[in-house]
Amino acid sequence: MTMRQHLLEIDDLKVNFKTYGGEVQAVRGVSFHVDKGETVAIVGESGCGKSVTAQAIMGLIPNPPGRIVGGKVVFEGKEITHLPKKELLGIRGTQIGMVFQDPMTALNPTMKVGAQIVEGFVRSQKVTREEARKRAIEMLGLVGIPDPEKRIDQYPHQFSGGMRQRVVIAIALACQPKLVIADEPTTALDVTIQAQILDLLKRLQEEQELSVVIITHDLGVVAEVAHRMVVMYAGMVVETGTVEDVFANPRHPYTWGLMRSLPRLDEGEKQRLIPIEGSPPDLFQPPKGCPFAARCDFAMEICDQQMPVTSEFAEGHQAACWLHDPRAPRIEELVAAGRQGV
Amino acid sequence: MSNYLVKRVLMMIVTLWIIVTLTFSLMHAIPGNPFASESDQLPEQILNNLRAKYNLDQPLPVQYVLYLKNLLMFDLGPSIKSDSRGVNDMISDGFGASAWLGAQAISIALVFGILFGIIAALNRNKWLDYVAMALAVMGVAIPSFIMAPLLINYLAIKVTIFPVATWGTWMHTVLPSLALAFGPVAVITRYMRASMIEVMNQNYIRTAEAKGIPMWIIVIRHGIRNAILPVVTFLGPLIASLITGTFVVEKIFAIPGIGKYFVDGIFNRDYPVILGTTIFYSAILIVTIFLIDIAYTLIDPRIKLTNKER
Repeated sequence: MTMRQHLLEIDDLKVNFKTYGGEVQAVRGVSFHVDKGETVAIVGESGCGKSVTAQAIMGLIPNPPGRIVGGKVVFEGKEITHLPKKELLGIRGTQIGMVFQDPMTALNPTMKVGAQIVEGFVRSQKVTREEARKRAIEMLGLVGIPDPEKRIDQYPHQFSGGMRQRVVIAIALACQPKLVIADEPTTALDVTIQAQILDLLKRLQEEQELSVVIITHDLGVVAEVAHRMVVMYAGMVVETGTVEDVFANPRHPYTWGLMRSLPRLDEGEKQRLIPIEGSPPDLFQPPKGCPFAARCDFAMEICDQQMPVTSEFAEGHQAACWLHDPRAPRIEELVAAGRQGV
Repeated sequence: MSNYLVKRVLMMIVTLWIIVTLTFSLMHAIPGNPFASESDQLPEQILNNLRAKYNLDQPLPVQYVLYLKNLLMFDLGPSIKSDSRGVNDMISDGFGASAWLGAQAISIALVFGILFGIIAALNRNKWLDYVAMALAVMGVAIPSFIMAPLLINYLAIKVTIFPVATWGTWMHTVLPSLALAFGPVAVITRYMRASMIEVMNQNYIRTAEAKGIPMWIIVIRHGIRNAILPVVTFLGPLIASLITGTFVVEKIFAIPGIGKYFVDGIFNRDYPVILGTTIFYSAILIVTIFLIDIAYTLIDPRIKLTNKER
């Protein structure tokens, strides 16, 4: 069997942060891959390590206190985990672009928007002033900002939140990167603007055959834009698969919990949202067994003792849970019960 | 904008008038008078003539109006103690040297203060930061009248690079400028470090990093302009006090600046000199603050000069 080369492959990535309280294991062996032209969503609650994973791909982990202690990031067949600064600069922006969460603070308030968009482009392409200006206008038009000739000479405070996020996207795309990492690109925006930004991302992804890693805690966003999803919990991947497979047949109790905590429009008027009780484990001293065991309704004795092995269901649909071990009790009813919201 | 400028200039004139009035009343509230030290030796008749010459025999409100009249024609009056020279002459003779020294000191303070501040901020909690901060504490703690003799001792006597004192060539200006700059370097270093640390933690710095821009370009292009506002604020009073001369440093280096007139004027109760130098200093301070406000708007496009309350 010949393995197709993935555009981005992350293999057993581990990232620690030193703090005064000890060393936090923020990412504890994350593996996933992104193919050309595909959108992969990383889902999980705050502190599960999704943003740190994104920063690790870009080599943007602040060191100190952060440090990649294991695993590797492979981009286009080349390991970029511990590249020297200079080579890393050649990848950032030009090969991998990044869209940040908060558009209100992600732009330099004292620099004209056009200059910010083409800053990386000018550096990598060595273009003239006019070419750079043309590029800035083109990029602003591409992300749907009206009147781009006038707008490039304005400052960020003259833009609304949604418009600023479009600018941030334009910055990420200015050098035509192959991969864009969007770290909660819609979290700071209000709902109507969220929809516009997601549409924009989706359109650009299709038009430019981009690969996109979108980090979010919003399953609605996942359903809207992603092809595949990676569910993270406490620094680990608990379930991964195509969006269709995971939404239709979630296999990990944490994913069930996420699904149950979503409001549904098709189930009558009054319904309670069911939260996942408890809170994630302490990552200073993570449990030796399944990190979700303490909050899991179906936890067995082994769950506390040993890390679960990963089982595969459909092509690429995997979950790390002991319930899927052949020795585990039959769980069909449990699963059904879980999905119906007990 | 032009509406704002007109209002602003009017405000500046009003401010200056208030300062003149306050100084005038405070000055006459100090016990003594310009001829107090001679009053034992001189006959009463001569003293009366002297008072009449300088209008000191008139009631205070009359003196005040007379002074304002002259001031409107930019005449700061005669100096009572050195009779041949007016206050205008004193200032125009001494201001060149003082302003030159001040300008050099400010340039040194800005360049090194900003540089040290950035280095300290980028190496936060490493030895370079500690060295810069130790120097800054010393700069604030050691007064210029200690720095000046130290500089003279090491750079003019032990190693004879610069002249010890007096005024003449550019070489004469180096040591006094350094002595004047030492304190401000320290203050600017501290301001710059604090605000640079804050700026480098901002999200837009991360955005720039994600574009693949090298750190030193990020610092220059994105860091400095955003971090420099506190330094600019400090610059207003600094410029005013440095270019109008400093008594101590000018005294130590025997520089014919205007610093000494501020002090001598008070000791001699030389009313026109006290008023003249105060007005001169105030005018420069008011104008510098105005220029600084304009500089704000150039540095940060979010700041606008306007009368509107928002």
